Amino acid sequence: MPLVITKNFGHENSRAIEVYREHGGYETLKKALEMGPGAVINEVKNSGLRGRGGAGFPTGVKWTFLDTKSGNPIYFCVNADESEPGTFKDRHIMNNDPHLLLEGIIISCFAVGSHKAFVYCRGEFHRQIEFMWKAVEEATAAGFIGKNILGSGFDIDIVIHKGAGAYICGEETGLLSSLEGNKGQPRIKPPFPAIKGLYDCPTVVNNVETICAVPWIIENGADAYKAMGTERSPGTKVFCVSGPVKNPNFFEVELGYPLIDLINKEAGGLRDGVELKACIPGGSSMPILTPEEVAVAKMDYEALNAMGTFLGSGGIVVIPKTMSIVSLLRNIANFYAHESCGQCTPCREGSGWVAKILQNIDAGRGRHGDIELLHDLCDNMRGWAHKFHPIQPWLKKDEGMGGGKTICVFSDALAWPVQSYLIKFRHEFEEAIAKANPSAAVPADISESRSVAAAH
Amino acid sequence: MATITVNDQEIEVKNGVPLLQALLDAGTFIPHFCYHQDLPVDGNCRQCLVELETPKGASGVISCATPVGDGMIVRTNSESIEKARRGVLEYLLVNHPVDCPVCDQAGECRLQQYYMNYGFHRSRVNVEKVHKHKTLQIGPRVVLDQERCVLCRRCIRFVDNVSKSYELAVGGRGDHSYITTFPGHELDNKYSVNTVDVCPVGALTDTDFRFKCRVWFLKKTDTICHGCSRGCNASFESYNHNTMDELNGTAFRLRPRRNPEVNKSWMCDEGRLLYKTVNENRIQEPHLKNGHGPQAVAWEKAFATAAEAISGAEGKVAGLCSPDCTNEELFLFRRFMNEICGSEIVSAESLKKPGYEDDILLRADKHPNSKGVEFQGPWNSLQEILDGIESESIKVLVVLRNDFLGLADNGSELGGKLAELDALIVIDSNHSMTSKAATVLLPIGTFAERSGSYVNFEGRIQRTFNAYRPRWEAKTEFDIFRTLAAQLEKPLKGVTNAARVWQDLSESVKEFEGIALGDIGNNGSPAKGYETEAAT
Repeated sequence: MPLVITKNFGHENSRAIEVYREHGGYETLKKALEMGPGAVINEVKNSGLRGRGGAGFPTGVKWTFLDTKSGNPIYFCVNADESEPGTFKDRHIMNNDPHLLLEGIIISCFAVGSHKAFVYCRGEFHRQIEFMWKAVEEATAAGFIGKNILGSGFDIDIVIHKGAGAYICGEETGLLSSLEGNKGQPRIKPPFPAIKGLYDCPTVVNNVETICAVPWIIENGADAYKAMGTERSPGTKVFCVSGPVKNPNFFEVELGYPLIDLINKEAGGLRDGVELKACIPGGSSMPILTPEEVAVAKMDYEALNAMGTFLGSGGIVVIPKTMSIVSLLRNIANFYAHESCGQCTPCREGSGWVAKILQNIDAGRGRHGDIELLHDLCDNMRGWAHKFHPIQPWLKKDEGMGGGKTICVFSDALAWPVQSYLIKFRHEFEEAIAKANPSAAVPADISESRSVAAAH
Repeated sequence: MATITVNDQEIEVKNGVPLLQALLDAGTFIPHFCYHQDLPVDGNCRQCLVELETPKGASGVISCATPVGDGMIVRTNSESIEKARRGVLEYLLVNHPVDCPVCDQAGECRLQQYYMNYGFHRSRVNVEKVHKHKTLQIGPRVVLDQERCVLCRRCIRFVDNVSKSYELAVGGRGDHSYITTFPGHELDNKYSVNTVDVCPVGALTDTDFRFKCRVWFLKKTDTICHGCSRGCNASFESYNHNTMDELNGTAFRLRPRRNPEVNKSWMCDEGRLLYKTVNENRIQEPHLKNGHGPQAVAWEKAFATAAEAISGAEGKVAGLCSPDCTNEELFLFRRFMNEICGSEIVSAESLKKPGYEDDILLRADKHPNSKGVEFQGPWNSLQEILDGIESESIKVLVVLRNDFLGLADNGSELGGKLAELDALIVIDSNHSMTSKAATVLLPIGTFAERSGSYVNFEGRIQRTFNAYRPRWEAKTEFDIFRTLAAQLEKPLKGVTNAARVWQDLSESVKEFEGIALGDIGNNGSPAKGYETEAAT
């Protein structure tokens, strides 16, 4: 299998433009400029490339939604606000191969007719932002960015924007609000960014990894890309494996790759003496998998949906037998309570409430009925989400209604782990509640979720 | 128009308006916090969730952010909607202090009301609440309690979109979010109290009204603010309950009443304070001036004295009213002066100087009825009256609601000249320099105690209603002029009430022609010749 995203990572000084060009960098750009925008869009569309940020929306299709008739400028935004706990692929792309991202941006901008691109970087990515700026300078000096690049008549300007470190700015409309200088809070959709995005102009928002796949697709053609992966999830994906494995790292594999192989082969297997208790397949907001499910899980969008979970951003977190699921969930809930933007009532109040209940259970102050209460609170926080994810056996409780509980899916991203943990590891919660001692010390309460500020 | 199906019933609604508004207009009540008819949609409270039939199946949508489309199938009472509704309410109460007994909003609080309608659950909250700041004086007129806040951001949208003063923002994140002013700024603009009105809960309260009265003791009367020529529609709220008779009639506040054509849902801070004129500095009984200064007397004596002075002047009488009068008062006053007193000189000129003006509501002309005066013109000028007094062709001056001495630059000098008059008959509601100079002082009702109509600067005729009979000994304008006329043995016909006076008025003023007072609805109606102008 050819590497698409990480192909240059092993080269010495891979960040430098010279090294990138030695290995064929920016040659695809020339090809794309000759092909013309329509052909590039078609190629990407035909490749079946899907968004790598989590939702998995087909990228080429997204580009065709752009409102090109409005007369307003089209903006191109790259989502590098990688904040999902367990995910670190974009960070490594920017660490090792910033020019691949730039080339992808230039080609994509050329395709959609945008002359201004923003890379919205997570605030904590200090070094990566430096690398990106340096790469922009190098590429500008080499004539790949600026006016009339390579004599094609196409102008492109790329800005690297540093966020202020909010998880929610990874949501595309939250990202746009933040980029405009407003508080990073998602906006009501519709209108979608493709119609009214940045500064009310048509805007594309794509994930770093998605854009990095574009040069390869243009260079090798859509068919070559489709030859990898599964039929509906073509191509490769960078998975990040963390937890007690021998070689925690990121690995680029074809979509549809067995999860157990990722853990046992790529990541070198569990550390000696560690037993597998569970596995988070796609970042902390995704429903958890039991060892039985891990053994059969295939890492592509459809296969994971069929198991009631999602591919997400590809952050695989391995949970050892020794770890308390209650503590794990408490930690995750604290994170989400801390990161809720505070706009919609169910998310703002629900996330804090859920976190506090879990703090109580974990601190030995759980009460009978807490599990049912948590379930009910989560029901009130999340949509049924049937539009995106057809098969979620454990989410089918209130089939009467779809989404609409909140503006974005943040509160779903808390409700999914909470409900899946409660269902699959109910006995751990029951034990914690059975052993509860009302005189136990009051947990540090929400101040705990303040302390995770540093964690993100 | 569009046809939508709501709970299996087809209704006709306006196309493109927010579904929530269409449902509310059609009489289907949907609880909501953040939606406000005159503010942009924010969609954050999630309380107005309804179920919409889509090709993919039923889906929850917030009705405020969903425009009406033809053929929509909406369900507002399904099980899942009611569950979601209860859920949102429960969430709003998680960190709410539930301090209703000491909260000023009690009685007009949406959280309270919806809890009774949709919640009514036992509390499942056994975790500690988030604590925030209370009793923050965020501006001269507004107090903020962050714990009671439901973060609907109506106040922020108001200062961002209507007053355009941008003082408020949300600080913090998650359930630690709070409303705050920007550092170094306070909520100090000419419309700041509107944030209190739009606040659906007790988070923002008015310093002027706080802890003065429980709202369920207040009676609302439709009135028009008489602070400037905009003529904002307002609701006059006064005490009305048998538990505290001595408070009955006391005015407590003036709040905007929605009129999309004039003031939308807003009102300026200054105008709200005008309710105080109903309680304070009132002329409580008729007075006569003798050697020892003003003496309170019975109405009979005051009427007799006034009548005597008028008949003794043998037509050397002049009248001065003002654009603070209603159309009916102006008409009645002119008739009284011309027909009863035989006076030729009647003025409606006011010396009040133009004030602050902006393009939101406030107008430089601080009179509610300048246009009405214009319609009923021409009038004599005030100077003609002063000249007449000097040349002794005027011996008696009748003044209705015009503090010309207090407003004139040379008030005391003018007052000296008035000493040459045989009588200065002043009919007014509140004490002023002019009322102090009066030889006969007749108390009349304030704006809240009279019915009638004004014409605002756009030519819109708007009605105002009396909350009660004039307080203390004061009488209505109709009573005063009818009785005075009777005393002079020249009965004045057709002055029983505002509607009767309007009948004659509409026949003699071309701008009012063919308009019946009863036909002027809640939004007022444009005078003849002002139809297009008023529509803009």
